Amino acid sequence: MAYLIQEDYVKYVCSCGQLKPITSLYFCRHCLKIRCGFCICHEVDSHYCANCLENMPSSEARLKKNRCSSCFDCPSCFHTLSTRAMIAQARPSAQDGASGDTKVENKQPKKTYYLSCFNCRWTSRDVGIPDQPVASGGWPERTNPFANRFNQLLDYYKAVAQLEKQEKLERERKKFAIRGKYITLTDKTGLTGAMARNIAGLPPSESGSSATLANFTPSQASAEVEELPEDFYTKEVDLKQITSLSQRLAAPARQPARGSRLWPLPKRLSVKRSQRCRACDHNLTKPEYNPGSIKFKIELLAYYHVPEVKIISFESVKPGTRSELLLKVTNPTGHEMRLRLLQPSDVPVEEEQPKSIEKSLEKSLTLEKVCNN
Amino acid sequence: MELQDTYYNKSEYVETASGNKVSRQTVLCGSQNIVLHGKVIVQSDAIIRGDLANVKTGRFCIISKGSVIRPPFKKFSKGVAFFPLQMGDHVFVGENTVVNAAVVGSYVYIGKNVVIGRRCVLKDCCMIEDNSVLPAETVVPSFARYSGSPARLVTSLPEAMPDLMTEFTKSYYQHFLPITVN
Repeated sequence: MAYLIQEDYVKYVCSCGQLKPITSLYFCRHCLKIRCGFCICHEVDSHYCANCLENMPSSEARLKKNRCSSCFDCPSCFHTLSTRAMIAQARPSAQDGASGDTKVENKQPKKTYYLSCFNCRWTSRDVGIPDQPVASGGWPERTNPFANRFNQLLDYYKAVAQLEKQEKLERERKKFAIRGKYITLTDKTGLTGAMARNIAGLPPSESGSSATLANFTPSQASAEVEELPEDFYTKEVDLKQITSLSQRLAAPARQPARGSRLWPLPKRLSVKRSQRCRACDHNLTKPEYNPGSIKFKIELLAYYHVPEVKIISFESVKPGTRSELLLKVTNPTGHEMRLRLLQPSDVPVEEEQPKSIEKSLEKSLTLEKVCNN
Repeated sequence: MELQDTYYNKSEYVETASGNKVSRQTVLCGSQNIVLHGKVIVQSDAIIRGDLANVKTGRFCIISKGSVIRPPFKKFSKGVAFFPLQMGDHVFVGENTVVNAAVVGSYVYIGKNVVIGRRCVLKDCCMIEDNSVLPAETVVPSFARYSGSPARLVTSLPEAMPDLMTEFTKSYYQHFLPITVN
């Protein structure tokens, strides 16, 4: 724990040369090497919402743009919004006394829900979002004003990517034209699938993609910009109504300029990730699937395998005098470990230090301390 | 760095059979509703409001000087209700911190001068840095490090957090030593 509240005094050399505290290092049991966050592979295991702790399959997460469907962030201060219940006021109407139906309704007051931020007191009522009859979900979504163009671009680039892939395949096929035992039909006739289709009078298989390529209209840069409203320089600015830069950037599709145009932001999903050694492809950490769980199925941390060095006490270095540094070295494993302290003259060889730890673990021989003083 | 020994005046603290060390200078309201599960340190000037609702802590919790542990309330249409406050094992609460959370998981580190708002849920293995304010009804997920006012996720914590917290609270307990003052 001291690692988190103090500065990292003791650093370890990772096999990639980075200096890191022991808490951010891993130890690959299969390569017998120390690994750090920079030299391992990070993989997304599962998506979940940090607020409601609900798992979301990755395909659904992609569809929902990695955002939770039931939790929202405040558009004003980015804190999580809470749902608040409100008992709907029975409207005193003209036929109040006349009809019995309204009386029945009055007896069972309807609950309506709205979103409220407990940090900045923003509510969904501030911007005129109607209250909802159900506690979670069902909040109106605003469509992206550029959704059409966005989809066009997406289709276009998909088509381009497909075309390029096909061309590359074609080129490779020509390059390595095998004149061997097994001659396929296309090799013999020099026909590709697309050409064969063409000759046979069939429509090309990727007609959709070529159509999107043809129909696509590239964006045009124009020098004409909408003029500012005439009173732009003269009108007094009410800074309370104007949104801040971070508030605008939180909703990139609309970038609301006025506070009254803010809209709840669906909460971003968090991920559980597993980590993998790049050299041997073995897992270094693998968390349990349940988002609330803190346990790991695989947990090869340096903290459990590498001798831990702690500074107990130290003297400030003064010229001409001896200073004492008291170190505590603990062996976290149940096996014997050989430890060697290097002389300053040994250090210049850069990879000496991590190697000595490695070897000692590998052999697990007798514990012998060679002290340098 | 290894933890340094902290000394306390032996006459000031009460040690129970289960190893709880509770200062006499604390305000423990409704002590019949307070359950300390063993090896818990409650330091001087701490306030635990057991009179509002049950307060339960796990083992090896450290409640530092001047901190307030107070069960949260919720307003209903018919008045106010208090909820019990549960705290897991190996929790550190820093000095002058106010904890109004509903649930504090295990292996949680709460810094000093922190305000944890009403009905917050702190999951296992999270950390709230010094001088942060956590607004009401916030959920802090596991392995998250929160900071600022309002507190936001700043970074993630290492996977070894449970072991780090266990070692920290245990060594804190071991280094919390009595001296007799004549």
